[in-house]
Amino acid sequence: MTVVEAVNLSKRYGRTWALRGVNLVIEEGMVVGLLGPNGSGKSTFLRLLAGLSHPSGGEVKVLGERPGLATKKQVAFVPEIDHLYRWMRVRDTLDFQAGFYADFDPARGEELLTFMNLDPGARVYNLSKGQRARLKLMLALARQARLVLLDEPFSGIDPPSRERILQGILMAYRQDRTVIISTHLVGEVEKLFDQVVFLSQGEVFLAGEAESLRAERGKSIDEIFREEYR
Amino acid sequence: MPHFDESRPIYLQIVDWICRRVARGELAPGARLPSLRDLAQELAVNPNTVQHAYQELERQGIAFTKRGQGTFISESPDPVGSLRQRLAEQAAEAYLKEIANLGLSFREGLDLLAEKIKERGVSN
Amino acid sequence: MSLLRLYGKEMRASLGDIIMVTAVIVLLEILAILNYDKPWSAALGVMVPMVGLPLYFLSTSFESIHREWNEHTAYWLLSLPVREEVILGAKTLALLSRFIILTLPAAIGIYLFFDKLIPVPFPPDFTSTYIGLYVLSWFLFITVIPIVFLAAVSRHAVQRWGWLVQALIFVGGFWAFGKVSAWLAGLLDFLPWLSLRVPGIMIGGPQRGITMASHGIPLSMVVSGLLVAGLIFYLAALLLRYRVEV
Repeated sequence: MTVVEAVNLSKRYGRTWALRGVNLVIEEGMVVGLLGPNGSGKSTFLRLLAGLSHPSGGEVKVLGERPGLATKKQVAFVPEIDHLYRWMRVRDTLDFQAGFYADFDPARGEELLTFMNLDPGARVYNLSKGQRARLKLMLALARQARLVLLDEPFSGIDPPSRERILQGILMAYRQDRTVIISTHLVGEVEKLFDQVVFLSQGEVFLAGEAESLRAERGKSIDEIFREEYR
Repeated sequence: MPHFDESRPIYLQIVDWICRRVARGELAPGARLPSLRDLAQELAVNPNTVQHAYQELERQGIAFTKRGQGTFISESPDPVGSLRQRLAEQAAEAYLKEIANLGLSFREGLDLLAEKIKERGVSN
Repeated sequence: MSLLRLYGKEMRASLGDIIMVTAVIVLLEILAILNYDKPWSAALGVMVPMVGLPLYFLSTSFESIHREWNEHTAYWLLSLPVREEVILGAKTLALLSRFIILTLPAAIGIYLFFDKLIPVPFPPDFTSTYIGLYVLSWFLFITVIPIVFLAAVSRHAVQRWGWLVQALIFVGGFWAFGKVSAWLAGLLDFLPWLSLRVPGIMIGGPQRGITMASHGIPLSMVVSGLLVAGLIFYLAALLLRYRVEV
């Protein structure tokens, strides 16, 4: 089943094109690495899928529909920016999320709370950056979402938190769940990906299966990344 | 836990790693391999990659899958002997390649090997 | 229910603010009532809340939208599988609740202040008229909120000149609101009038004190105002759904 389908998808901000004619199909159950330097359009692409932004041209479909109310029920989006209500406690944050999603799994929420090592009584504004990143990921993974979008989940985060986040993503793997992870840090996480999509200045210039690319080029995805963006 | 060289397909390295463990007797014929999820978690790789590795092991006749029960190391034919043979051959190939790279003749390589064996005082 | 959850979130987010401003108002009114014979008491107890509170409510209404963007919580809010009408509806309810909570001590304080200030007793229907006018201020606020929302949301629907667009839509919104609701009120002319006796204060002269004059408010104005406010509310929700970005 096709989960994401972008046809000639474009997005313009003023005079600059954040995305230019992107054609991409992502199938169910894949873990996809969306790779590129800052400003290459990764974040814009994820926001379009999440329904938080609207195309300037072309079309994008998520689970067969244009992003909107119906797709939001099945999509979990974790932005790079801290989007939490700072006055809430960790517990309030989880409860607030639980209240809106039919696919929220409370048992899973409790499990993740322990795994991510977060104090339910702590205020969001007292959490460190790594703790907030863990909390954000937890909100997404406590749901049985069909499509999970993670925008730069590893950047600027302490190594122990990064490790937890990586393990959390692996724990959440399901055959009917598609995960798209944008990152400019490829090395430590490339083993997560089934497929990789390289973006540059809003255009896809390389996309394929990670293992095939390794076999064809005799290089790691990280090495290919470094060469392409040199 | 193996250390991966990410410039080669990961699933092949998982296959190699499991073959090695079978050849060394760490994984006995009939032993159940970890679930996709558990091994993926342990190796910090995508579960699809582990699945790909298990499929490759099946294709080579080293493992088989029982529906709903998991993947097991084959019992008949017992893969241990052939794996030992194969891995030893690979090691020999690698040695010869290195000798050639260093500009030595195979004769010299063989003599060196004999000398090393003597040093260890091994008779068999 | 999503509306109630969002309403709870809005109320909780402004709780500190509500407590603080309520405390200030209660303090002002107590000070004014205790010092009713001083010349500055009316400025403190009547003018400050009558001018300050509307400005405060206008700014909190804008803030209710902009805060989600400033603190990046719009990412979360707009990701929720909730209709945009519900998001704005919860904000409207929260703003209205806040309006009632904060204006109540001011309205009571001002009433008591006049009671103290004016030596003669109030005319018989003064109290009911006072309450009537106060309740009318709620309706006035309900019609202002959608215009604020439309203007505030527009700012996030454009990539540039956000502040200018917001200002233009705010001013234009009031203008259009006046035009359309006046036209609609004409159509609804058959509706009765709400009778209201409006107080006037006589300072000096033989009739010193409060006099009541018969007036009325056409119901058609109230109904047309609410209908047009509803329309503007819907426009703001559409804008939020199809144009606004984070």
